[in-house]
Amino acid sequence: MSGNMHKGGPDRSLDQDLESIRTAWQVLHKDEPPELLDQSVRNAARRAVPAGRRSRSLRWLGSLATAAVVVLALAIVIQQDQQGPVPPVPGSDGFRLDDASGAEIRASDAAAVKEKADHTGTVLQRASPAAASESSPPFDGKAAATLLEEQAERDEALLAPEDWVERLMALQQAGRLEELRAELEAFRQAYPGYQLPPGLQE
Amino acid sequence: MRDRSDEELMQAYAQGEIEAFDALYARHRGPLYRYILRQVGDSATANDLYQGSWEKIIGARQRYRASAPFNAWMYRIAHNHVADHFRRSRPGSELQADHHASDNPGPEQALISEQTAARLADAVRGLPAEQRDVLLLRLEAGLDLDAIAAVTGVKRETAKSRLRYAVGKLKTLLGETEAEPAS
Repeated sequence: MSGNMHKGGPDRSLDQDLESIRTAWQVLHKDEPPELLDQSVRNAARRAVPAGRRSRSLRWLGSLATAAVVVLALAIVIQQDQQGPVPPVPGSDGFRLDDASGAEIRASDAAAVKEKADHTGTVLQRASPAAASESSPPFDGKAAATLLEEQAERDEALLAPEDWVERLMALQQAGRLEELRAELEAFRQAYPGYQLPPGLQE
Repeated sequence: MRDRSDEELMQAYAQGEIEAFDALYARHRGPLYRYILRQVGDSATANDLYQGSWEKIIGARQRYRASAPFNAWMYRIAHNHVADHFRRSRPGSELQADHHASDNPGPEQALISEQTAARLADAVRGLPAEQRDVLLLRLEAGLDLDAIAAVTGVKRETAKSRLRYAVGKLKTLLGETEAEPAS
C-alpha cells in the first residue's frame, strides 16, 4: 500500500487490513477499456483542440514548407530578371515580323526560351518529382523549345510586309492576276491586320 | 514525456498539445476504467460512463489548475458522473452481480484462488455504494484518505469510516474463505 494515510494507531490498523484485501484484489482480472473506446476518447480529445493549436512539436514543419515555397518563388523571379523578358508568342497581338534581323532576334529568343524551359522543367521536377511524374504529364521543355525554333524558321522565310506589298504591286502591274490572288491570300494569312494600299484591296 | 507529471501533461493538453493527452490517457485508462466497471458491474454501462467521464475531463481542461492534484480532480469528475448515473437509474441497479472477477493470478498471489477473488469482487459489489466508492478509490485509484474525501465531497473522518466498514466486511469474507478447505 503506497498511500499517504496518516499513520496514527487506527490508521495503521486500517492500512494493514487494506493490504490483505489489496493482495486478493490484485488477483482480479485487470479489465481495460476496449480499443475502440480508447480510440473514441483520443479522437474526442483531438476534436476538442482547435486545429490551429494542435501539435506544437510539428509546427516547424508548416513554417519550413512556407519558407521553402517563398525561397523557390524568389529564385525563379530573380532568374527571370537576369535572363530578360520572355519573348511574346508568335501569332499573338503585337508580334510582327519586321525584317531579317528581327528573325535573328526571334531565333536567339527561342534558344533562350529553350534554356529557360529546360531549367524550369528541372526545377519543377526537383521540387515535386512525384507530381511531375504521376499526377500530370511531364514538362517537356525541349519539345516546347523545338516548337518555338520551328516557328522562328518559318517566320524567317517570310518576306517583310513592305517588301511583300511591293511584290504584289509588281504582279498587279504585270497583269499576273492568278499569282496576285494567291499571293494576296498568303499575305493576308501572314499579316491579317496589315493595311494594304487601296489599289490592292479590291 | 514520461518525466512530466500528470499536472504538467494536463496543462500542456489544455494549451493544445495532443501528445500530452495521449500520455496522460495511457497512464490512467486502466485504473479509471476498473474504478467505474467495479461500481456499475456491466461492461456496456461502464463503457458509456467511462467515455462520458473522459469527455467531461476533456471539456473541463481549461478550468484545470495545476495546484490541484490531477488524480483527485479526474476521479472527482468520474465519481460525479457515476453518481449521476445511479441517481438516474432504477433503485438497486447498482447492485448487479459483477461477472468480471476471473483469472490471471500473478505468481505472488498464487495462494489466492480465482474463486476467492471472485467472491471478493462479489462482496465489493454488495457493499453500500458509498463504501464501495471509497474502497475503489483506494484500491484502484490509489488515493489517500484526504483525496478520497475531496473526491467524494465528505469529511476525511467520514471517508475513513466508510473505508473501515468496507474493509471490515471484506476481511471477514477473506477469513471465512481461508478457513474453508481447499477444493
